[in-house]
Amino acid sequence: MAEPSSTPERMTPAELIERARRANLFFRASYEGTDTQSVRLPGAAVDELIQGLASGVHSELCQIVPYSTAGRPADLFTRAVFRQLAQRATVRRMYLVPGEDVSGGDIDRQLAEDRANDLHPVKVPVRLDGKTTHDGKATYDGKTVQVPMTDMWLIDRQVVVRQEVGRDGLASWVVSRHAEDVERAWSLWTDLMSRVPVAGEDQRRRPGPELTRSLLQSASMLYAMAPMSCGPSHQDSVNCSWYHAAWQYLRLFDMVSSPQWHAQFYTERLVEAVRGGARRVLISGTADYTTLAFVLDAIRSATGDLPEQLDVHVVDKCQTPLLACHWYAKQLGTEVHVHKADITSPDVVRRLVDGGPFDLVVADAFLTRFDRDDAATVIDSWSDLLRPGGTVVTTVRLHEGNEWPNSDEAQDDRHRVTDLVDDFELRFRERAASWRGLLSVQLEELSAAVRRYAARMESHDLGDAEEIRTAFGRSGFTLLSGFEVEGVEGELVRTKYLRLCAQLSGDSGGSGG
Amino acid sequence: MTDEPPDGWMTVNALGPEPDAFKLLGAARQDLLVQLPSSGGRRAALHVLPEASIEFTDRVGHGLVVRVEALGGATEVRLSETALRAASTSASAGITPLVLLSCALSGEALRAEWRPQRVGHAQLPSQATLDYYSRLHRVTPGSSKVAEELAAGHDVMVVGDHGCGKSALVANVAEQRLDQGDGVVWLNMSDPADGPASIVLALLQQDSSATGEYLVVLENLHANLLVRNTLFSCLERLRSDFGLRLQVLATSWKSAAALLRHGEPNRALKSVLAEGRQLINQLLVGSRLDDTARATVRSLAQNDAHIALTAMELYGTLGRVPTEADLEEHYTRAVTGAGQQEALYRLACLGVLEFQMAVREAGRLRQPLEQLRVAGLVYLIDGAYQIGPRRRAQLVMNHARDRWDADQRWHRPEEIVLMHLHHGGERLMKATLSRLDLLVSPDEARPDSLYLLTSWDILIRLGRSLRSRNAADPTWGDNLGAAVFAASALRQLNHPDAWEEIANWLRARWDYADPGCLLPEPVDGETADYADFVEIQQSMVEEDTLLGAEPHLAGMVAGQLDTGRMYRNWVLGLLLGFEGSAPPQHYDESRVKQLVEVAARAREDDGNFYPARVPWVTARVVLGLCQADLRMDHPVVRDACNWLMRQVAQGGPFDNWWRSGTGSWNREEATTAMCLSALVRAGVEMRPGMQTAHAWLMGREREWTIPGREIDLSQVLEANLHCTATAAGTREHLQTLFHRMRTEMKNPTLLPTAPEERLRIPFVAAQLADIVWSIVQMESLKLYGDLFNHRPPEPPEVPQQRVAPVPAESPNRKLLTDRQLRAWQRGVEQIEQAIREQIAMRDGPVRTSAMQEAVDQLVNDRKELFVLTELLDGEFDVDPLARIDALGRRICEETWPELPWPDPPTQREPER
Repeated sequence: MAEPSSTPERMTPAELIERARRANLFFRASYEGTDTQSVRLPGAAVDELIQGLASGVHSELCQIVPYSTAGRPADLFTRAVFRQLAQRATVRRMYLVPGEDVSGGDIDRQLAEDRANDLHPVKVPVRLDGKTTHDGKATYDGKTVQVPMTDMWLIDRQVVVRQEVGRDGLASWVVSRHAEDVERAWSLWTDLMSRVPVAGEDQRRRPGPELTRSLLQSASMLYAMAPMSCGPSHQDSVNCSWYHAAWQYLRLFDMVSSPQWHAQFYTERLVEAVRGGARRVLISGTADYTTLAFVLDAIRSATGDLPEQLDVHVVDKCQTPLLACHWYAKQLGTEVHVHKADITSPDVVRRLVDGGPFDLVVADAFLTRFDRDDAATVIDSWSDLLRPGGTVVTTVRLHEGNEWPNSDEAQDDRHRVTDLVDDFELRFRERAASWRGLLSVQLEELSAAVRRYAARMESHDLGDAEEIRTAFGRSGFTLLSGFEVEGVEGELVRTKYLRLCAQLSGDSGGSGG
Repeated sequence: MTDEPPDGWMTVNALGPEPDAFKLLGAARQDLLVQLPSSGGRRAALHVLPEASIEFTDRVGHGLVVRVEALGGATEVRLSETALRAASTSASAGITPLVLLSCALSGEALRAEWRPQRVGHAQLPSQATLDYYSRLHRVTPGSSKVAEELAAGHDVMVVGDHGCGKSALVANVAEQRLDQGDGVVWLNMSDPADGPASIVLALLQQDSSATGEYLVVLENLHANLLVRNTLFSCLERLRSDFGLRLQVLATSWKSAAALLRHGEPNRALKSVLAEGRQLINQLLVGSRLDDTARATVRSLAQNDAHIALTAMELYGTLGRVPTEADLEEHYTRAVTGAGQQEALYRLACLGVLEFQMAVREAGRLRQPLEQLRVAGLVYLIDGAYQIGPRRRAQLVMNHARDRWDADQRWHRPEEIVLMHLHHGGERLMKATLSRLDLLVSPDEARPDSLYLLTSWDILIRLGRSLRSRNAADPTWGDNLGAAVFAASALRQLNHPDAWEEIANWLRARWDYADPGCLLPEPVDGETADYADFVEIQQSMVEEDTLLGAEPHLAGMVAGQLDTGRMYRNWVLGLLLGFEGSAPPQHYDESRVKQLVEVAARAREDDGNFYPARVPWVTARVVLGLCQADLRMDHPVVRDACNWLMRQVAQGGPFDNWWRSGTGSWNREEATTAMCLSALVRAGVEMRPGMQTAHAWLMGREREWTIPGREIDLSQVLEANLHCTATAAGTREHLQTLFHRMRTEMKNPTLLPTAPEERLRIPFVAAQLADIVWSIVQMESLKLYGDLFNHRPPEPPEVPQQRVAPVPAESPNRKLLTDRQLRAWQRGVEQIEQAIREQIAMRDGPVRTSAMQEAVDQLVNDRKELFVLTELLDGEFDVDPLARIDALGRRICEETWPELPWPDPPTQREPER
């Protein structure tokens, strides 16, 4: 098929300008749309939009605002307009606060400022992990829908203004008077309002430290830092940046094994140990600061205080989690000791124990990084590091508890697709999609990192609970009561973990002698 | 159709329908005990104790508790009442009491929702096959390494390409183990029904071994990667629960072995490479062939030891090394009649992709296949007909295409494979898609998934959802568009009955039988989606208002639109697609003919379909004509495509992309995607204008990925696939589509004001099904495509210098260092890969003579490369290196690296 070729006629400058105007008209028709009941505006038009709409509010403006977007300097104009509006109409503002704990200085200061300006603010906690009723989901028409973590306003319950965040992270604004849009927005508003914590009521919260906002801050730091700070580690003998870069984003959405999956166990055991006098503590192997957060939480709970200097040590072969621990401790106004070292090395053990034997070793799901022989060496190292009577608090993944989905059967609600890596990636995207605006890294990039993690993550089978008990016994440990096997959601498949607390026998001088 | 009761449940079936729990469990116990191999004091490797007890409990339901023991341990399993009822009433799955026990022991949860599914049987190859393997087997470095690793107590995986002698090596080990009193379980993973339960069943049936040791052979592990986790978990359980001393000896592709080594959990399998070249060398060492003949055999075999062995055996008969044509004759000797020819051809096409044909699937080909089996041309192994090694399958397939006109008479090979997948059941489909997802080739694992398996999972769910909605209302609310797209998806997802329900309504609802009719006419008033076109006109009015005084590009203003005419043209496209792609049993040629005639009458003088302002109507008709199997050689298609590509200035709709002409009711991205798809499907090669439009479309990613625009997204993905002939740019966005569709299925958010909302699920389902099949075809061709491209064989010239002793003083003789040699070997692999991809890109149902010439050239290039590769060694002539280099530059173009050239040989030290 021949393609026609022709030499265009020469145009005057005025004609070219006219052409440009006409191109803009085509662009507008395409961008704004030709729907009489809705219009779309580019993100840069926000000031014009607010200016135009604010004067049209008759009696009420309901605003849903993700908390982290509040208070940016660029919003000063916006806030001024809404303050003026509040003088003649009711401006209700709902802050969506990531995490379970909505108490805190920043958010409360924001609420106080809003009230001082005659706005009616409330705060609603929204969890990221997709669980329980307060799970980042709301209902509409009896069905569960994801809470959009983007700005949404409802004007006089007649017109909806909502942000539309594109794949590139840039936002547009859509203004609609479609009855379905308005109804949906109002339903979301009322549903979320029912979740506003009532002052004075006991806010039930999961055990363990609340880390959502810390993770939102540090996940991007680890993502950027891992390629520079990671090297050979127990996860990967060459470079573990694929592991640490994705880790905190996966933590944020509760998709990886962490002490949070065993929060009650760790909280109880650690508090018990600290109350029993444990002060010199070693965290042996860690992916980030989550284990440290549990230890510090326990110290604070047990002693009512978190001193500026702690005898808490973290040892890992990779620099990245150590930097994360250092950062987290500083956020809490304290300091811990970090050691970039291999726990299986006798020299490292000697060096660590030079400062005195430890009272407590904490290691979350660490042993399955090693095959059986090396895992035995790690247990020996712990034995050498602890004082007689000292304890290890740890969890061990049991591979016999893997619930591999049957590829022949219709997939259950958890395993919605057969390929486990695809399933993992899709679950991540599902959980992260509406939080796109709060993540500093693009969802597509994160998605690829998450996929790498799922495809490369390895875990060794150390046998059943009895075999692990035997391995500890060989290194002079006695398992304390509470030796329990519990099922958790798992990463790729539903999994069982052994939760154990092992005490070094009083007469044990350490296996290495 | 009622399912006949299966074998093995005599006592249960004697109870009559719906027996009470107590009677059922008692009868099931009796049936189970009858099946146990306990006569004459024999004891099975897994021994079932006869004291099976009946357990009544409200907590987990009633069941039969069976205790099973081996020398090193024992365990109890529970056969639930619901599972017993399900198994004893479903003959198609063939679950006998012992098979049900195997399922329970292998870790399957026999809950209420458990569905009986066939369990493949682990069977040793027949004595004839073992004898053949014995003729083929020789001691090689690979076989020695396997023996060494096994002796050290490791599980071993033998990896290697097709025909390298993996199975012969494993069979040799298995025979040795049997001789020394070990037990052997042999599972060929090519049957997707083979899995953990098959191994347990074999252990329940076979005698306890004299030594207490067992070898578990997992042949072709790469064929079903999906079961790898459950399989290895089961083996671990057999070791831990029963103390069975099991050793695994698997065969697989190199790429699949890497997946197992780096999986989660880590599988401690020692990989050993088996090389066909080494085995062929050993076979030749013991032969009477001279050097020239040996070189010819090597060249002919192309590292396939089976071919080498056949060639050596034929040498005795022919008095010379056979050619490919001789081999083809040999493998098709004594085939008589069309039935045998078709059976052998179909089996060969499947064999090229390592598929088999189960006896129960053979249907009318059963008899000719049996005749072929008796003639020694096909084998019956483990309940399935096979043709033998892949290269042999390829030779038979080529022969059939050359001599029997097989393409015309019984479909092209890839069509046969796709049909086999369609009808082979969900497990075969999933195993195949998973292999395509994970492996690029036998040697290379895929770094990123193609999401085919996941697409399939989503499609299955979409299919079920559509089917249930269809059952409630096959008219889809009297919405023609929704019904047609749903029908397309249902057809592709193997729900022909649901398709028929739609057809019954639709064929009565629209009429085009009148030989003079200009457009299809609705019966009893317009279908409901006509209302959309009224709104479309309103959207056009809005667009005109926005554009101001100047009219739209096509010159038509909204007020001039004949809405009914536009709607009927669109309907024409849909009806063409619907009838043109009807399932075979419902295909009505006269309807297709009538619709094509209507299209010829309905088109405008310049080729478009009214209205010219709205090019997506013309694109829809072109797509419909393509589904009716018409291409650019048909005048209606040709004129419509020419019009679509015509510039605005020349009265066409093309302005570097296509504008919808209907405001934002249909967006420009969707319109452009649709036009591109129509053009490519019609057979228009990617011209600069289309490339520009494609570039524009991909640059608009932000727009077509906005939530709520799934129709646009799926159209763009399909267009991109057609335009680039690669899944690379598609996979990234498939995730987004999956996520949206899953959310949509869980929580439908229908907004009746938007047309997309009404069409969304059926349209996207139909598009997604198209996309998946396109990728499957594309990737299968990449993996195997060069095998499907074929011209009559010409034996490659064997250069004399390959075998002639090379004088030490040869001026061109150079030494390659190991590093240099590796670089050149990598270069050869790069050329091979490029040739494979380029052939695959040119393959497909539409092939021009230019494309055929290009394919022929590539096939010749590959032959030359093979000859050159044979010569690639540490000591090497420069001339062939130069030929490889020239080939690389021509095939790989700018991606061809600068390779290290050898230095002149240094004077060797005289031996002392």
